[in-house]
Amino acid sequence: HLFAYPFEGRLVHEIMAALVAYRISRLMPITFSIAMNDYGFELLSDQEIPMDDAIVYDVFSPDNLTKDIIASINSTEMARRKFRDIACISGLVFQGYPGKYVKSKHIQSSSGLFFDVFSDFDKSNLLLRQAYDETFHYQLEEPRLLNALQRIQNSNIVIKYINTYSPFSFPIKVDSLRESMSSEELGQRIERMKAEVYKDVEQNNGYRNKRRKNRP
Amino acid sequence: MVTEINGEKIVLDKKRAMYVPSLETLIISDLHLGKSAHFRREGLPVPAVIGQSDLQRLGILIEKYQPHTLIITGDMFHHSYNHEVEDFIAWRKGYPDLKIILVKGNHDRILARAANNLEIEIYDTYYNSGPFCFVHQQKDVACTDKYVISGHIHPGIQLSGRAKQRLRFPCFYFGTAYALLPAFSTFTGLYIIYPQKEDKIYAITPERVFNVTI
Repeated sequence: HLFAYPFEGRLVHEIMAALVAYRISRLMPITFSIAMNDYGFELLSDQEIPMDDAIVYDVFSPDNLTKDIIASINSTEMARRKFRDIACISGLVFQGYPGKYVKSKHIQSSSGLFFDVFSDFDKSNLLLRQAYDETFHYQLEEPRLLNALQRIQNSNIVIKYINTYSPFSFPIKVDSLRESMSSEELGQRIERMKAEVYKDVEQNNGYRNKRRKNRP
Repeated sequence: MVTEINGEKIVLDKKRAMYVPSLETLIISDLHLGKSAHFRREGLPVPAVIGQSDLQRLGILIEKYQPHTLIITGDMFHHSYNHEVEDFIAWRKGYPDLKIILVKGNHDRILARAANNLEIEIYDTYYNSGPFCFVHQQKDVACTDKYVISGHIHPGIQLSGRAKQRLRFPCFYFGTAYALLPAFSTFTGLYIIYPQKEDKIYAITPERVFNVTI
């Protein structure tokens, strides 16, 4: 777990977290789960996250900002989340009638399928482009992010290594709206996760199935 | 990836197909030809390229394995007659020596009308070949002494890891009595299955097929 507290507001933190995660992921193959709130953000990984006084100022640097932001947005699923609203509004995915709305999970998977199909077969699709545009401009607040990073660059960054969760970390940690980003090779991730699942299954004697109806 | 069921050697291809060398048969499921055209007719702008891309991929598989027979375990066509059927007929002409067998699925409604031009053999509920019985839905089983290979489900497997990692992939499922094939068409969703310990699961990634049996 890595928790950072810039106190810049949730929207800035969403981009800043992706940016920091992206820059760290360039140092080594690593996979992150990202969460944020108005106080700060969290990077969670199953490996040790490299962070010390030497690299922290580089990772939070305002240099190369636009290029790195573009790269980090493309590595997370922010555009995919934005696309969900676009899919509903444009009529690609039907939300149901008032009083009988379709479960949001179904919309998530349908809009995700459309997102994949457009990304693979129709990159210039206007709806797809809209999702990326909105992620860049609407949420980005790039000047504000730049100011924040400049302020941080001129400040004293305090790094503390602790063994438990601090009071500020808790609301971020339990946030369920998470992004993920990985620079690891897929095969490696699968092998590691397989080993963990194997351990889990041994202990519980079978997959822990939260939804029984999905048994084949 | 090469593996075996009940002693019979099979090859699982990352392009979502299964090949049985001893029968020289390639098997796919849930091709859903015409799905993108069907969506467009309803006003949803799905790229037209999908159907062609799926057929292209099937062509590559046929070139690779050179099977005598292609079996499709249901849902070859998505809904009603549209131009993707013509695309298929044109594509089919490129493989005149290939025997194509279809076991009808719940989506294969158009076949009454267009069946003659397609030059495929059609079976209503099941087709036997070697030690296997091919059906569309596993519950349609009529042949209890053979190992059942079915489709319809569009199976997917979800791997969870520490640090809230989650990966979802289409997969091949091999249970003790029957198997589930992944949907061949890329324009399909996934139905996540939770296997038992004795079941074998092979996840399909862009890179290769992974054995994720526990």
